[in-house]
Amino acid sequence: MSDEHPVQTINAQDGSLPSVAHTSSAKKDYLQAWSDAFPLTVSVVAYGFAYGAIAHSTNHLDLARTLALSLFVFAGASQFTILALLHQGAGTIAIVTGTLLLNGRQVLYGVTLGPSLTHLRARLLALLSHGLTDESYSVMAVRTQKSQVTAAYFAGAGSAIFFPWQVSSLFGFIAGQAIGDPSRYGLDFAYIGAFLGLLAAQIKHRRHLVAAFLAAVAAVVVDHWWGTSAALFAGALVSFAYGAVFA
Amino acid sequence: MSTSAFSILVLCAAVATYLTRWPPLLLGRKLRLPARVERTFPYIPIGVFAAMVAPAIVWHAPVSGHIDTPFYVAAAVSLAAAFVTRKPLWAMLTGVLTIAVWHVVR
Repeated sequence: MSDEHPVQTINAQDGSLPSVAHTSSAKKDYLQAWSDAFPLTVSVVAYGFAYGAIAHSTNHLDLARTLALSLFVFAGASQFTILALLHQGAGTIAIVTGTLLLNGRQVLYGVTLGPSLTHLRARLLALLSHGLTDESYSVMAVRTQKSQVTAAYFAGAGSAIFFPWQVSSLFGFIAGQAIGDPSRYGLDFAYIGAFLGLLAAQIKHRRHLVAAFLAAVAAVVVDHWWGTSAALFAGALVSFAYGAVFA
Repeated sequence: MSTSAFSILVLCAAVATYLTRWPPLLLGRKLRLPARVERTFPYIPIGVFAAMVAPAIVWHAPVSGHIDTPFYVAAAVSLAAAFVTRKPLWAMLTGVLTIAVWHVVR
């Protein structure tokens, strides 16, 4: 493509590339992030449908409330938990505590992605960070091993999850009970399949396979007692510790 | 629940979630890590991805309360596709299609 490599004349004043080159590579990074995230986007759409449908048919939330959670909280597992707790008549404090614990894993994502994001300004990260999820973390963590996570790539990874989540929440709400059980179509399997693929793509050595196996065992045990977030911390910790000792 | 009570709930849940996003990124940005630690970083997503799928597969039957044959067939197909193609898209599609086809055929 001719527009990918425009003639690069260095700006004599500050050494920066002219804006044409900048815009072009930003657009490329943004689209690359969408492309990398695509399998995860599909699984997010399946979950968004289910979320919208349950919010409408089981919780009897109106459209504004259903979408407010998707827009401002924007965290799949938390939103399902909020629906379940609301249904049980739980109070605000219980719901917010549950949300905080469930999203604790994102602390791990932020702290481990942070060292690769030193070139981004704090205020820009304030905006981009709303797009940090299991899915966008995953594509960015893979990206850091091959190339830089630019602002455009972060924006792409975040929007490839954010916008499909909003649209599918809306359509799930409209379809309501007509959707029924999404597991019938295998849609609830989409995220397991996508993460299995991400995992396989990361395994380039026997040591990686051993680390993955140990992490899986740790996560299975910890998940049973302390839930998803703790399981992810345990998996990451076990794999990292193994890598630190044997790699 | 009244509109104002629900708005407060959304606001608190949104703030609680945002606090797990932006501040950790800022903290991570400030970390100066030894080269050895940075070299070991690729092991973190490996652990996260394994932890994302393993409990979902192992605890699937105990949670759903019955042996869901198509689910386990799909997991096996997807795992094979994942390691053969190394592409998340194919791992996802083969797994989903296995379950969809299973339910159509039966």
